[in-house]
Amino acid sequence: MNFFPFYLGYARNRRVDMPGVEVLDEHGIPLLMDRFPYNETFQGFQLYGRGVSWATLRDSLKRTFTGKPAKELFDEWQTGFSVGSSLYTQTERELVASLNNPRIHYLDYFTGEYDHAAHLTNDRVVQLKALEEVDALVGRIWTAISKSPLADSTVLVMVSDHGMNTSEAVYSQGYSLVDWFNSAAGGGQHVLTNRHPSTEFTLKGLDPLVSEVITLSTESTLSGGSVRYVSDGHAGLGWQ
Amino acid sequence: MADSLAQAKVDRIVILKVDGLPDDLVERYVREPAGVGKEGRSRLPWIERVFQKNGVRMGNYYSRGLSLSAPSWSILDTGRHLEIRAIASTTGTRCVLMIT
Repeated sequence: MNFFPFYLGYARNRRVDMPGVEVLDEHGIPLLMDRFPYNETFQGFQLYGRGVSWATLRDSLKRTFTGKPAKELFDEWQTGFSVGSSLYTQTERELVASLNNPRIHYLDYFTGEYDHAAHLTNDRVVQLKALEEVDALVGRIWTAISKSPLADSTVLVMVSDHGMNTSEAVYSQGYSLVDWFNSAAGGGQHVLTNRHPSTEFTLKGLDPLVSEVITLSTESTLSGGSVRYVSDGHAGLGWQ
Repeated sequence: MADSLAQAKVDRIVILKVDGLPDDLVERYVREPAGVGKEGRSRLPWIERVFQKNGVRMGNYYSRGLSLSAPSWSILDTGRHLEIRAIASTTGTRCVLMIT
């Protein structure tokens, strides 16, 4: 899920809550966080959020683009700015700071990093890496809770919204259709990706004008060659 | 912590929401050794320590509905049965949530 188009839309329309929250409000259905006074809550960026923390967004963008050497910025520009990760980092920083405020009684943190990785590929290493990052996040939050003034009366809950089929034999969410189309069984096509969130995984270059393929399937007839392709401006990428 | 929570007063709740994470995958990797030189250690040491060894796991807690983020999170965030039942993407940049 790419939240940034939503945020930009809010900025233009001066909207506050996420659309899902507005729908629920119309039907008089409160959120769990509504059981707490608003000023006693800290919420991460998520689908059902009350208000948009523009300061968090601003600070994450600031950290992405400032304080880095020109060469580092140029390198990131080539591979794609990790704005999404920067937002998660900033939100985590603010969560940890809020844990030190004893007046905050409800806190949540949303991460879509595993979901993004699993939708992109069923590759075990990629998914495990995403899961290990979740584990490390648990460690950092738990450590921060342990040092917080309400450590003895805090409950940490980890929850997921739905599973995902990760079987390599099943054509489902975790199955890599990209790999299959590129394989001999799939006709040796030259499909690169149906998404482009993980530039390090499939693409390098200036997005959306992708200029280089770095992980062609070994079964592709284009493997080993220098491949260029361009955006068709509508449905995705075409070959040149 | 679980034992103490049975009697302790809870003043604060911290919820870590992980989108799309299958529970069986967590179970599998918690049991898997971290690798050479890290014998006896789980691949997911913090999840093992905080939730498996010192916490509570619920194996039958799930969102009863579509395997889509928006409907599923609506169940978890409200405690109500499925109210948001679909995601209708109308353009590349706008998403309309439909309720039935």
